[in-house]
Amino acid sequence: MIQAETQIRFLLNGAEIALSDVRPDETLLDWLRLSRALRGTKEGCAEGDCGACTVLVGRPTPDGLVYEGVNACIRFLGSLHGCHVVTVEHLKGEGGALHPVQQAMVDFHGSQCGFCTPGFVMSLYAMWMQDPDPSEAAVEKALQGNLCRCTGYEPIVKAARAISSYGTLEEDFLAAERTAVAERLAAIRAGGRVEVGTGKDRFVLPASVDDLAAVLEAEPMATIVAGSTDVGLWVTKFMRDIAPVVFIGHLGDLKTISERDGVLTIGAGVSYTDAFETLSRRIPAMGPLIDRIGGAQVRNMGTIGGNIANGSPIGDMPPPLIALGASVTLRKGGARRTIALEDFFVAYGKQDRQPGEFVEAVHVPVPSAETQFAAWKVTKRRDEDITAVLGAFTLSIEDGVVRAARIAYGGMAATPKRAKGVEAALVGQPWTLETVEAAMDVYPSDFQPISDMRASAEYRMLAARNLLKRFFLVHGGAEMPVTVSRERAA
Amino acid sequence: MTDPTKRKHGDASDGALHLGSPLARVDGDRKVRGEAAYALDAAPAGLAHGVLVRGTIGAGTVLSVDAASARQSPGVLMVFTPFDTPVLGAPDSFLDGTPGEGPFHVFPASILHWGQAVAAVIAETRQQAETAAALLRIDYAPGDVVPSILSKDAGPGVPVGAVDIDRGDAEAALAGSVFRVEATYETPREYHVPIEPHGAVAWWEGDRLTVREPSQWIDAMARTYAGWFGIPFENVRLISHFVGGGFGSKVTAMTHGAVAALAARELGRPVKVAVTRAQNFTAHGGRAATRQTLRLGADADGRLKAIVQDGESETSVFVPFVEQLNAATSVMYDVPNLRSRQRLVHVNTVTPAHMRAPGKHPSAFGLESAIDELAHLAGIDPVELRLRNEAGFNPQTGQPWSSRRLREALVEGARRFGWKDRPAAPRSMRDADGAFLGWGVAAGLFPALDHFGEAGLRVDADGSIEVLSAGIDMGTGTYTILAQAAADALGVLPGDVTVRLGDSELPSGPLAGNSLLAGVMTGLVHKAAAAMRETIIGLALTEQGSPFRGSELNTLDITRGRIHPTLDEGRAVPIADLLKAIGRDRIERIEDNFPAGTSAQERHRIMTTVAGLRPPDGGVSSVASWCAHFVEVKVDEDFGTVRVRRVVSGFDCGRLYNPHLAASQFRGGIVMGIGQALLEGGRVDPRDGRIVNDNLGDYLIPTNADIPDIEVFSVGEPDFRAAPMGGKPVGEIGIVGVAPAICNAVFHATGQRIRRLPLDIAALLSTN
Repeated sequence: MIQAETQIRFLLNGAEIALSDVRPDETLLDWLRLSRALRGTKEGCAEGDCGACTVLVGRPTPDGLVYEGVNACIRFLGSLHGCHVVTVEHLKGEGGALHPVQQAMVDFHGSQCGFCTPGFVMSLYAMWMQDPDPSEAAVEKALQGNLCRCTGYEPIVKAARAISSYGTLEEDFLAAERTAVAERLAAIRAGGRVEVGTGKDRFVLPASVDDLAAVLEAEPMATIVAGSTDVGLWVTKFMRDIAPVVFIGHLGDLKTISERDGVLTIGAGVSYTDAFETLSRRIPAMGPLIDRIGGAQVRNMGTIGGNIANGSPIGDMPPPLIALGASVTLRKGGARRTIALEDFFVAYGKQDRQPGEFVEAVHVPVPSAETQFAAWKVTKRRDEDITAVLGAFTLSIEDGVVRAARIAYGGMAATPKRAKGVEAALVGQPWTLETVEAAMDVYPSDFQPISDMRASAEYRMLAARNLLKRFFLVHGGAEMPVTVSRERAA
Repeated sequence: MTDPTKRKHGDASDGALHLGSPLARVDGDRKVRGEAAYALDAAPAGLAHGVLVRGTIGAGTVLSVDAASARQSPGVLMVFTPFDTPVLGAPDSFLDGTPGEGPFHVFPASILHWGQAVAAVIAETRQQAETAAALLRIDYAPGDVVPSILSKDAGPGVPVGAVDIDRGDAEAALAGSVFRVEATYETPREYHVPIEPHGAVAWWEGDRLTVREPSQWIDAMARTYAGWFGIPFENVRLISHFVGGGFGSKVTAMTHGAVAALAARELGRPVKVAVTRAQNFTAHGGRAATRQTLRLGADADGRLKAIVQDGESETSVFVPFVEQLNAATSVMYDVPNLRSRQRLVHVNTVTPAHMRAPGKHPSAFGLESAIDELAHLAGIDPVELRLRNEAGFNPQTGQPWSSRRLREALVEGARRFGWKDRPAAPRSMRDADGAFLGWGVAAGLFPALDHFGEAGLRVDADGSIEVLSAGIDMGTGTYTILAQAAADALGVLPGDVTVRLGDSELPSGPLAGNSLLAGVMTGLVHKAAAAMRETIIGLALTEQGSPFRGSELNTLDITRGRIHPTLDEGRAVPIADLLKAIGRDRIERIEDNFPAGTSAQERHRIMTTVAGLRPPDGGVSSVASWCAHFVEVKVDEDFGTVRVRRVVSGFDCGRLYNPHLAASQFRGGIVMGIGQALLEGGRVDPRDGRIVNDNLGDYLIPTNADIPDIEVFSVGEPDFRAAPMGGKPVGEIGIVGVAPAICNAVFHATGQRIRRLPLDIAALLSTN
């Protein structure tokens, strides 16, 4: 039996914090505003949509201390053990002057009503630390998770691009503290299991993956929390009781990505942000897709494992991973089993996961050079919108004939689902527009989508079919435009 | 350059020093530091937390509330239900002259719309209050629900009457027109969605109530609180230093404020009630859904002969709120014959409210879309068609315009946009990837209103200079432009001036609505600062101890905060030093623009009800701002997706008090217009009237990536009929005409007319 620590310890701005009394569902935002009177961080929506509550969280990684913007409104306080929380109040420039990010925002009129401003400042600061000379595209990406209703954004983008003219990263106040902070965090993290609270109302940070397995065996109905981009809303929006909570986001063993025999193995705790480099390099079509999941704050917190484990029919990772032929390893105690990802999704809201069992890793075959892969997400709003239809395609074409096809969709059924009828209509057929158009007629046998707020059933069906056509036009080898638009008969 | 000795201080006609210059927002520093304190940042000692509980039926009655377990829940201090909440007093209506609604039942048992507040729980912490709220067992007797204007049983509505227009013989003129178009246009419920949600923190000291609440109209809200709690107006202190966006949603006192103040009184400690994001979709109304059928007739040259308009707008079953559909229709163009009718369709919704450019936006969506349809039918360029129909005077009232530079906005906008290269036929422009491109244009207007108010100016011997007003700044820039206005008139630098706003203890300010506050307050501050200047110079000439005592009249000036002989800046003395020299700690001036002899009672009525709204220029001329938007869209017909790629917009808003801040208002308005065209619309559950997308993940507002390059420019000239300092309305006009410009561009791209907002991507899907 591991002796657990009983305090959540982390750094807040310049102070070291040790908390014995932490409610399992207490959010960082509530704690900052109510317990610490740090009210520069604002609550605009309490569900990770608006970014007004953005703060930085610094965490040790194998590559050193990394600071990322996160939504404090859906980040659980207990999850910050061993991290450095930086709020807008901590920002400073030389001699009490404004920080370069703040000064740029003032000079370029980046604030209007000002309520979203601290969140923008923190998102820009996170961006600037990674990329002191950002392109407009980089700024756009950095600001995906921050909503402004007043300025029209342009002044903020201009400010973002000018930050480096107000100061350098080397002179930044956090840079000076970096080594000391890293050492303090390492010391905090050196301990074993952390457990606060009593009875059911506990928040547990296991010491290791093996410890996680042990904790879950003892507490099979506990809520497993990785990024809390979903579970956070269970609390703030649906008022659900999630205790006891077992957090896994700090476990280095679950944060690894490795490649062996052409298969990427991604630990269940790997965030979208951490997966981005490998996935976009090895499977280039995944890059633009990941870029359109939530905003930077959500990608920094949310994990690929979590996106699978919660089984949403409109999760953005399962369709491409199913199309790629991914499998998932589940673990209970010492026992592991690996199943095809598509078999994990049993029905709406129901996955093939037993009490006490957890997703440990997902295994993603890298498409071979002869294999074509694409994944496209269709939404009404380009950024930070929930999928209407997401289609993913892996096709092998040899000598002009389709040898193999795996096609999967999100938003078309109660679970992420393969288009097996469409696949069958393609395999063995010549890779021509005629074949594609014939396969497009098969969709109704694979899918009977529903109408909801995001799209009608008809729209979903048409868009799903058109995605296959787009795939053909992009990957058909012919000199054709990327989009399918054609002149209509007059 | 103007000879400095001849400069009339603060008067825009001579090129003032500061007003009109692009000074950086003076409150920007506090905002980027997170130091700007919004209402819910207030945390007085002993604060308790309240949550509102929403009803879950669309209509009917609350039969009972079982609060036993909620009251036993840890930390709970108080539970309010329809059956045990004290009835509050009866404020008179802020719609002056109409009777009030009687005693205020905070939680009536009668349910008129989904989400109506039915209870509140006050506890030591917000979490405890939420936990207890979930334990309430509420029993309803559901009634029949009419969910929305789109419902089959909504009926035809009732005529409004008051906004009807009959000009000439429109039907006959239409029948005789060469070109006729007819179409129906629809706009959905839209929501203000300020990033700062509503809420209030209230506490009592004896019979004095203090409320921290985001407010666009301090004095009117304070009056309501006074009426509710039966205390004198002076006993209510409403504080709203910073407002995190309002857009019309924060004008009146509401249930959450009543609960905070009531609970604070009952408990004898401060109480905060925060309205959740979801509750912000039902605790107050957004813009009413509308539908209008327009018939336009024109002669062979495209000159409008007739407009016939039949419209409906949605309202609640209990208040006849009118979203006026002919606000633009009646005055945009020179139309000799016009007939306009509007009906109100009463449904089970919270009463709609004014939202940025009320009436003007849906009116312009219909009119400016129909004008484009007419231009296409007549084979006339849509810019040219608009120029041919320019109205030389207000066609509805016959008044001359104080200024109307719409022609300049259209012509210059077309030039900057490159409009001359536009092929007339739809579906004739493509991007490199094959997707269709389209160019569209639309115009807009915003009629001005004037208001009354006061402005205070205070100069201290410690060197501080303060502008004082209960008027507010919701990001519009009031803090900044009032510092600029005061600096010019007094002869100091804007950085020397501290502006204090948003507190009912300060001199009475007008509402921040109808885009009128900037015009009214710059004029009043100018007046107060000029009076202060005369006062200071007068003291310098006459007071014992002044180094300038005995100088001749008209020989002193104030420059950069120093008083000096007009032609000898070398003998300058700082104002503070003068005050010390003559033994004065402080000088205060309050100026107003009330008619002479206005009684205190009448002032109160003017400042706390709509009685203070009046036409500018004494009603002699007709005053409005004007704009023209040019838009490029890209349409992907495979998925129906539309991206706005480029916007060029010209504005005639008279003189801009601060071009940077004004441009920011314009851009922000255009962005909201892009949202209206492409994204925004409340979705109503057809069973019970619930707003389904009551959150920021589902009620989509534009993100940064939805926003293209937006070029805004001003063609305005100072218009002193519009306002003392020469400006016209700025804050709302930006959105007017954006949605039709986008939809016209979509037509140009695809040949598909978009007549219902927000644009349905399925409608643009290519099926071949």
